[in-house]
Amino acid sequence: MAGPGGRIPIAPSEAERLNVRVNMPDVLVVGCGGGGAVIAKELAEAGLGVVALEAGPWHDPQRDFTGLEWDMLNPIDAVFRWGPADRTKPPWPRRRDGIPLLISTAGVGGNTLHFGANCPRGYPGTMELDWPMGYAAMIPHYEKVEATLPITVPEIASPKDQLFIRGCEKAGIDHVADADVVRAGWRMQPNAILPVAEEAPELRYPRTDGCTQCGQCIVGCRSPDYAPLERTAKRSTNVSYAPLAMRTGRCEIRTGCFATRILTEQTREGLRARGVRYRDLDGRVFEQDARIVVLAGGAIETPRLWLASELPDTGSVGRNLTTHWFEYLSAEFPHDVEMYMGQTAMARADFPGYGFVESQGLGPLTYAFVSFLGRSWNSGGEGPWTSKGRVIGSALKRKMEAYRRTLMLVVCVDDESEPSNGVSLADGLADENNPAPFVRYHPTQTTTARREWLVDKAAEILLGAGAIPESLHRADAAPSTVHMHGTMRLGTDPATSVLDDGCEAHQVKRLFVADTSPFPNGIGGPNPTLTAQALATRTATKIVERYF
Amino acid sequence: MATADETLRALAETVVPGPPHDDTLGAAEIQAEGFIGHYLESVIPGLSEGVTTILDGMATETREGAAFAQLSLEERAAVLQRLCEHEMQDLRELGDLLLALSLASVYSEWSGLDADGELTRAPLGWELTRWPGPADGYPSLLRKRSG
Repeated sequence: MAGPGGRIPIAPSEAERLNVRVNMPDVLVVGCGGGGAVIAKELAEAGLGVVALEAGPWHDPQRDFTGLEWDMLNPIDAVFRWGPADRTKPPWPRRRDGIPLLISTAGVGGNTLHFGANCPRGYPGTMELDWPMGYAAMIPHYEKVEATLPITVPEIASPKDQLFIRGCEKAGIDHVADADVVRAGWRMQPNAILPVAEEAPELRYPRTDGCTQCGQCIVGCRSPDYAPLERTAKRSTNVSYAPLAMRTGRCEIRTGCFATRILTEQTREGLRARGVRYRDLDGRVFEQDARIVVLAGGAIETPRLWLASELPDTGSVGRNLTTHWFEYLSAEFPHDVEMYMGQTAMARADFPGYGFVESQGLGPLTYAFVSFLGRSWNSGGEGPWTSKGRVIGSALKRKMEAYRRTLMLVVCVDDESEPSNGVSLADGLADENNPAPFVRYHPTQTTTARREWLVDKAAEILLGAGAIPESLHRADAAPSTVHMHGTMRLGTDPATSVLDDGCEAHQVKRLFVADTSPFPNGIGGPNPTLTAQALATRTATKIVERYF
Repeated sequence: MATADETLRALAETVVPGPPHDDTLGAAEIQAEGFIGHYLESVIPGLSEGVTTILDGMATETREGAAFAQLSLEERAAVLQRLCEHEMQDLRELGDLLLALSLASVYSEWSGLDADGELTRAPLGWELTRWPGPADGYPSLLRKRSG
């Protein structure tokens, strides 16, 4: 494999030192991202031998993360993309209907590589609706993940978040600091980021230990400079759970390995998993047996692998995709805002029954992409926003000149589960592994109405904070998969769910899922990572209980 | 008729104009066609020529015999919008890609990179937005030193 200067990252030296060979694993985990790394660590700590397959590379934050927006994030050849580790090779293709941008990052850490680290719990009211175990049963697992990552609620907000908080107060939103969200309120974010570091003349580890407020969360955290892997401030699973899994001496992570088929055997009791077939970077095909198989490739890849493996489907596999259909509102202020300072999102306002609103700090390119490439063209006028949708030309240049005085809010809606939204296999499109996924998403009227309520609230917050009214802009964003869940829903009835309440497949014993695809609903709208990780933690206990 | 480079430059200028259409520099001044062409070719070899053919075809609907690069800024903007709103999904997605690449040519780090891919000068977009670029941290937002 090529080294620095080549196009294929080499795993960090710490990861190479810790990695062991596990020849006869008890458990095979497919995908070492936000959920896969969690369940690998939990099972390895419980004494089981684990092999985790990961399609992408293991990045070294210090060496590989440049802080440059296009280099790190573009979907074609960036460091973070859905594609092979060799960036000279094309990305893996997907087909779409209604959802122009699918965001996935291959690599140890998965989408936690590029996430903003927000880790709120799901809303109890929404989880009580469709989650058979209920919200209370999830609390011990939430607590375990919060302690392990760890989660830190920052004490001081960055300037952009202080402005957001002022707007919330002006809009009459109460300060509610509870982790369990039962009423509307603003609070500081529970973030999977180490505590803010102490000021120092030079921001270098070990003198500087913790978050340096550099605002690079989404572009790939490499702070503080010279930090060893496990002291990287943002707690993507490649710096938190994955090293912890390997420290048990019972977990092997194999990168550049793309699972192509779930292997099963027929027994008297029915179908059960027995292993996985996968390809390595050179195209060599392997089969790895294991007593238990856990799918953790995410809400697109997990159902894709199930369908490509031709496993039985009672009608729920790949269906009921929820995405929180984001919207972005921005406005200019008569003073500097400097949204790029501080953690990407340090404050939030939750509205059970609707979703949430938060302030977000992005670099100029990412800000332009989410704000000015919406669905409509230079529209506007039907709300408090004077412009909406795509903006090009001199109008775009004036908006971008105001970047330092701009505050941007993100809206995430508790979108309805709709069976026709989801993942199937595309006809006539494939990569070297399997038929490509075909992802379809169209929002329902209820989803749209809830989102409009939140958008009005976001506008109220911006104006309350002192935004220049004529500058209010609404992105009119198309759906995307910044968040994605629901495509392998869990439930008690095999006719309407794929997994039981232990996340084991109804139709295939010893096959479990540990990403966001088991979610029976969109958990009320908040960021899904913590809930996926808590669920994976719980599922590990079910695996041990049932089979070991 | 115009070359692919001229066409892509005219496209980029439509999205991020410079003089005489706008007072500050834009995509044409940084030869954005190099960036856009590179990525079109990496998506599908030959796509730059394909895009030229499509845009010129749509330009003729605006003004008989005119290439896209010969249209006015407003006329080009109208063509780009028609492409992005086309009934065929592949053409809409092509329009989206052209828009995104034009934006990225200016507001990403690209125009600050040298031939080896090293950042050696301020990219145009960082100057236009007054973004200081990626920082190691912001000392004013850190915890005060104890003792």
